[in-house]
Amino acid sequence: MKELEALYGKITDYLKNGDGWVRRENISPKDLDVCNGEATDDGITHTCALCVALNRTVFKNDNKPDYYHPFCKCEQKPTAPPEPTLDFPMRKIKDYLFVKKEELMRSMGYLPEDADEVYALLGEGAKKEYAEGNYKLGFFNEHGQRISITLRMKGKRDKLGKSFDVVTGWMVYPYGKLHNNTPISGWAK
Amino acid sequence: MQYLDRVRLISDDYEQYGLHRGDEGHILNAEIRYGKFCFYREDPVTKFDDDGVSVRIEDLELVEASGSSDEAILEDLPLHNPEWGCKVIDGFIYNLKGERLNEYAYDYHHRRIK
Repeated sequence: MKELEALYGKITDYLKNGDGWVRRENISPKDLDVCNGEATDDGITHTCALCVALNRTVFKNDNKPDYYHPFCKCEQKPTAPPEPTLDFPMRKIKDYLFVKKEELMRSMGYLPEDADEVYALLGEGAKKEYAEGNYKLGFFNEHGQRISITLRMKGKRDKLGKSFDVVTGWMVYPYGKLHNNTPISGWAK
Repeated sequence: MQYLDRVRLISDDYEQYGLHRGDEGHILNAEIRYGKFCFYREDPVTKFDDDGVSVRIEDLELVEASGSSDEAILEDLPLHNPEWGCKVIDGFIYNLKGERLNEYAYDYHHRRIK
């Protein structure tokens, strides 16, 4: 019976919002930003930690986290496509990607002096792809909904003329903010 | 042990997340939350990182220090707040104000620790 109700909910939800953008909202004042990245239960509004983690996040209606529970107070409100902002420390490029993953970067022809270029490429690329709905949902818990975004990097130096499809890992924060988890988490398959 | 260090998992408690004892990876979030670091396993073949998993401090051992400076760590702490626990030295958790956050060495889960 529960499965039928969930299916009915999904169908009516889709008919109402189509493949547009929706913002998930509940009555809790807490969200992932307020909780500094780790959602906790809101005892005052009786909102569970996972609903707090999704509060005010924006997704495409046909590609959004499917978390609901009995008496869930979350609603999906139609909204304009997001204008993404980033929480993406440069250190993850300069002190991590070009230090710990130097070999990988070299395999695409990139050297440490290209850090600014790589940062812009990954950051701006992720914003653009997310705003166009090109993301894949990943694991979800009280830290938030992870998404992966595939980006094309053009080879440099000895790899000029080649292109590499890389996957970047992000966490979706409220109002279209993307928190970087891993700058490059693999080759696109 | 701190931000961007290379670390090794020394526990079997994370098999459900696809992590096995001996796996190596990095700490890619600056802060310690509830006695845990966010550990990103590195695939030994592809050298890429998997999704991050919160791992208890005592279940990790240092492989290679990153040498991240305090300024660098502060920049990447949530809200740049120096009160977050972010370093583990000789069994003690420290924040960037130099305060020790656990009373007893290697006791990382006292209720007062954020």
